[in-house]
Amino acid sequence: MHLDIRVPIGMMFTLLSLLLIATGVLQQTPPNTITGVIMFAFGASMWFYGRRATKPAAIAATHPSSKSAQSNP
Amino acid sequence: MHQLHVDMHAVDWAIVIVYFAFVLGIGFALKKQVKSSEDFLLSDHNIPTWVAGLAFLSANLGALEIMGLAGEGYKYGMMTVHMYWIGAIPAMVFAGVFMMPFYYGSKARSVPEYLALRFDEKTRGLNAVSFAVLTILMSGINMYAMSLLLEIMLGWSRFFSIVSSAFIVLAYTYLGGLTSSIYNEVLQFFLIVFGFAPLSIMSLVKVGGWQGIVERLASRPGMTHMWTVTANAADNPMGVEFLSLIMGLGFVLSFGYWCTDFLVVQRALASKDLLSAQRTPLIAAGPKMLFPLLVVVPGLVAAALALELPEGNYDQTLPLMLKELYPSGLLGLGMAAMLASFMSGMAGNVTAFNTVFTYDIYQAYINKNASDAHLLKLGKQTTFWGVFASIFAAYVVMQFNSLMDYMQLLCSFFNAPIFATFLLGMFWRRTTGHGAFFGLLAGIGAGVSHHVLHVLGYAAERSDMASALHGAIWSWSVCFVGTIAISLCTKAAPAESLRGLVYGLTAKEPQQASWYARPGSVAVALLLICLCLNLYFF
Repeated sequence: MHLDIRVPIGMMFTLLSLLLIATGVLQQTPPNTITGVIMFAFGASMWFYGRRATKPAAIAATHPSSKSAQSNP
Repeated sequence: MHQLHVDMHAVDWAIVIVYFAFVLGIGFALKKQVKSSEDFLLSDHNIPTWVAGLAFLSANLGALEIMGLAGEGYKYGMMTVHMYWIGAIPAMVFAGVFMMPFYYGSKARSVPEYLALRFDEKTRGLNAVSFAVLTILMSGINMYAMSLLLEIMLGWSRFFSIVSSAFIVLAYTYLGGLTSSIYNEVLQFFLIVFGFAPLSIMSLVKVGGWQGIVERLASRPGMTHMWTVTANAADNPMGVEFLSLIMGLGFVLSFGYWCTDFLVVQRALASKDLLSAQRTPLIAAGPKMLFPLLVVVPGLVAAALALELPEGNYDQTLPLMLKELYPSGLLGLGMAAMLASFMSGMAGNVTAFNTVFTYDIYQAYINKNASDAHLLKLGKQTTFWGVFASIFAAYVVMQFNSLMDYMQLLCSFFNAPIFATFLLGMFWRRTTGHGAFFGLLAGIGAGVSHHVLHVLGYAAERSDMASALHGAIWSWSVCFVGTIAISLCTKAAPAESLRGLVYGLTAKEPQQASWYARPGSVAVALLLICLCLNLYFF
């Protein structure tokens, strides 16, 4: 599969965490802020590891030498 | 009596909208990768182990597990935790260690197809049809729960809420098939954890911790113990004694569900190899043990605080707790988590339904020579009709005042007897096709007749749950004894045709992993942890 699920999970949780942190800071609601910070750590790490795993695969798929190598049995 | 209404603010809506955008986005991203019926219906055996493991768990985290069991926590207290521990862990371990080698090794595309290989076409047909009915009814549970939530959030009518929830699930399962469903289940799993973990912590803080719950429920000791109150059925709110609990829930219903229900088995079969397939239920069993903390504890706290449930409906316990405890922001996250659970449960049922219908009903009996392109098209159409049929099932669900009681009833009809068929089929080579078919038929009939007798007042039970557990034991026993009796009177299949399908006739593959990573070692560790948890809350 070309899609690494960690990337969309990471993106979504990072985005949601920013919304929660902003709400927590503006409305002075600590539960929002605490949950937001924990979610941000989770989302950012998922995104990072997902990106790191998909990069080599993407390079291999687009690189001319790897293409010719794949076509030769 | 009052109707629950949750006030959602802009940030809550933003969170729900972001969630929907990602769910649909995953469906669109995977659309191009669906080129054959195997891609659409089986994920082409290409799913990483951890993804399959979390999807295995998440497909089961539907409305029933979240909304239903929070309500059960309010109604039955700590005894609800039996659904997660004795009602799941031993069966998940058994599925991973003993049953996956036969499912995966036989190269069957579905559970009914395994029955065709092991027994005959008529047994496969019976299982396929009963499973298709079961999945549609279960999908109805999730749709009903989702519509209830949309009604609370938006004030929409029940019908409009049902149609809109159906449309969302249809969109992403239609686009990306099983892979989209599995990937979304993983995303939904994490959202459920982050959406309910703060609720659990905040509710415990509000009530004064575990000690606070025990003190407030001191007049109802059955609510805070798991086993001490099961010596006598009259001593606990569930109305069942320990033997019924162990046999009915711990053995028949849970093994019937976790070991034979294609909804969950399908996630393991999507793994890349046998070892991954075996690890899938074991990976799922770890977080499964912790889920009572997220779901049952808020229900128990609601009971301890003596909160009045809207319209006396137990299924509204969780939305009520979200409303009581969550500030704006977390409220949106909690609501999105609830929507996620309903969508994952519904999508799981729909994807299992379309696979079984396409391969085990249509290709097996209606059009044996159908091309792959035709099967792909049919699989997509079946997704649509499965969702459509679920709408009708949602109206059936509304007749029950507790989702869990409804689900246990369905399982006592269908899952309980099929487990007897599989147990004999996999571990007793003498079991025949005629024995399996007529034994299964008799088991389903026994479960239905037990329920009819209960409804008519001839089989007195203390609760709907007790009725479902006793009905399950009854239908399993009838199927087990009936299958043995008929098998002994009919001609057995030659041993050669059973290789790879029956224990004792299947060569064991050498273990590749280190001793601590082998399925057997992980299984023992999981069972020990489960035992310790049971002793702690005895």
